[in-house]
Amino acid sequence: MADALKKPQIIVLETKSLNYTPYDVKWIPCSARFVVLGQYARGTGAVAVYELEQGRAVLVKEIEKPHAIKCGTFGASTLEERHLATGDFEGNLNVYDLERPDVPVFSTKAHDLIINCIDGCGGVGIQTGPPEIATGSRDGTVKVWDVRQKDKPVAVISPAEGEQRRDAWTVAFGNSFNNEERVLSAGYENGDLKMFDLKTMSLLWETNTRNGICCAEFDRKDIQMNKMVVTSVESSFQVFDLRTRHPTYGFTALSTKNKDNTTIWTVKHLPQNRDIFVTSSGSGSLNFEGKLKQNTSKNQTKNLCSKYPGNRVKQDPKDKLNVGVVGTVELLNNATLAEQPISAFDWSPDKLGLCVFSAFDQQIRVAIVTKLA
Amino acid sequence: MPIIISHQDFTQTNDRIFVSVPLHGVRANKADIYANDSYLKINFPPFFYEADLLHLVDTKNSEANVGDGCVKFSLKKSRRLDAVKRELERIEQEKKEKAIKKREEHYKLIQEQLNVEQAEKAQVESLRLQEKLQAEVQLASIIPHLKCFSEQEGIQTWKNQLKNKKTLEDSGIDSTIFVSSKNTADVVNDEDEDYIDMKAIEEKVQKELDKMKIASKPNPRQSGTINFQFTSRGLLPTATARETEDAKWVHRINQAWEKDAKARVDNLYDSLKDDEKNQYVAIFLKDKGNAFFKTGNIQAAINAYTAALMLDKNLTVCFMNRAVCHLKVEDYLACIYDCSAALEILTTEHAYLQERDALTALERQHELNSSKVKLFVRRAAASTKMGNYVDAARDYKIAVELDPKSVDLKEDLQNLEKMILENKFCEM
Repeated sequence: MADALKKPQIIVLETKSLNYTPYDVKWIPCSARFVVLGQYARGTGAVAVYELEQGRAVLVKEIEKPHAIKCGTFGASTLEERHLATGDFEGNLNVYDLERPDVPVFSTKAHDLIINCIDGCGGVGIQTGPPEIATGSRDGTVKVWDVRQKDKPVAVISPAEGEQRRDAWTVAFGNSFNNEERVLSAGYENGDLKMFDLKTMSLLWETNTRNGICCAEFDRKDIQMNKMVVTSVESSFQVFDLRTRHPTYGFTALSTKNKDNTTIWTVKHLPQNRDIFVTSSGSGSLNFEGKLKQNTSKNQTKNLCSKYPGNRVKQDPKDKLNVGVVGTVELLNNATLAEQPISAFDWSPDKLGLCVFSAFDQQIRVAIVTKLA
Repeated sequence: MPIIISHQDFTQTNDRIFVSVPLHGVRANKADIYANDSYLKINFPPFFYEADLLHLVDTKNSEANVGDGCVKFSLKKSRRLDAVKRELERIEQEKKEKAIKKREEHYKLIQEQLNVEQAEKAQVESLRLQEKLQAEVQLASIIPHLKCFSEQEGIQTWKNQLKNKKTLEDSGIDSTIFVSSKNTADVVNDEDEDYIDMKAIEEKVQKELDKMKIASKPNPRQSGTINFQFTSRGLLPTATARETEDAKWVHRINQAWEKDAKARVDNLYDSLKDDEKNQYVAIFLKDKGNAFFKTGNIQAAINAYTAALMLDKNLTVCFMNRAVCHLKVEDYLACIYDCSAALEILTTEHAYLQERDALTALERQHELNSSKVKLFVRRAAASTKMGNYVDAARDYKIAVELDPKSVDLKEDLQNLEKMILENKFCEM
């Protein structure tokens, strides 16, 4: 029992019931506020800003938009502006200033169908490279936008003519360690994971995990690409080691399966420690995986943390080229916090362990995870 | 003063006492006998006898016999019985007590277990609460810090930090630009006076510095398009798999339908079988005929109607529709024949109906009239086409009678009559 208390504990600080369906939650950088994006029952979009006061979440502002909003990010705006880029069900990409949310700062019809996923790079916390927003949609295309260039996307990544369209379910930026380099990885519903190099505008690497990819994330956007976690349907997720690329085998991956056999909806790396990440599953539980300083290796509750191997590179015996070695992933703790799938999760970039997540039971929960240092 | 008898005969067995008291001339109604469980008394004036028994007797099962010069007591010993009873009772009592004790012990044990578990839980709860309080305290201490961060001062400090970083990095570049502007300024220097040159230099430097500040973010990337292909594998999840499965299913269903259709077609011309089946088939054929007519396949429609009529001679609709078909293929005689047949059936049916159910007949009158009008008009049309204007005119007259409201019919009739007159005029 005492052993269990040494592991990271998750403590739910506040549960808030909503009268709309939340699809995404994001902390507003450098503040104690977070924004919830969703859909009212009448089909219009909901943007609500909450503030944490003495352990309780207080509604600051609630705005209704003409179309339901699926996803949002602060990643492409600077710290002074903190504009929220949102993608909605009609395929519109709108960037809002939350102080004056009536008229968007930037608006464009990005896609014909719903924008499933959005990611921003070059803004808060990532000083290198132009500020860009990537949107992935049901029509199978992924487009990269720059707020300063209206109506014309910086990059359009689409299947070739005559290909059957597959939904793009997730996009993630990475490898943005200087002003030119940037990599965008996109996960599709048929299990395809493709990595595009935006500097050379080409397909860098692709692979197929057998199940549709729900969420992919690099461990850090602003370093040379190190590790990526990809989660998919049927409770499996893979950790790719991106430091070493073999010409035939590509990047090595470690595949893990959760016991509860439900979709793993999101994965989020802890902003303060890139070796700890959390996955949220369709059974309403969160699994913390990562590397701790002390060794807690008993298996009473599952603990996941990624451990680097002694040697990250080994030689392939056949062709004497370097192949990456992934290491291990160890489960740190898991907790079931909702009855419905937890579809969105966000770590606070300011306070270690503070997080907010939303589930399909129309509730958002603010929680804090202890002992992650 | 009673005479106390102190002599008795006393014998005992294992469970009885026999006391015999001699009393001369004793009789039951004269003697008072009293006995309780340890005392006997006989009062027979002037005699008196009493005895204390050493042990208890059971008076219920005892008796006293009076007569024959003596009173005989036969007393049941109760000591043993009582003792046995007492013993039994004692044993039972002990048992009960034991049981009660056991239950109590058990209960106590359970209570203790519960207490222990509760204590454990309470301990864990308290630890957890402590953690929560700690976390909240930490949070509370951070939040004001965060809040002030969001205000201008915070942002300013952050900005300054940024700037300092930048200036450290870019100081190299800064200095070079400064140097270059200085060089150009030197060239200007030669031409103009000193202090204007200083200003020019300062302005140029300021411009360069401003440029540095504005260009803190790199320009938008060069646009590009990337095309790729999705992997195609046999075991793709969801969408594709479902499509192929659906296609297979639809194919199976179609095959089954066709087989069934063949079976139905084979049974079609077997008119010796059930009448009901024939009816259904006839209706099916009529529908087929309608469908053919709609698509424009007139000959097929005629065949279908003929087939239907072979099965059911009284299908008015088939006659009517076939008449129209004949009109279209310009088979006017057949059209007239069909119209006539249809009219006959209609009238006979209506007559039947009137006999049986006058009310419905009345209701159906309107329908009947409209059908009749149609038929007459068709027959008239066929007749006109054949050149038989007189018959046509006759049919039109009947039609007008049936439907007096229609203006078109009247017009047509007038036209016809005109034509007849003209013809007659021509013939003449």
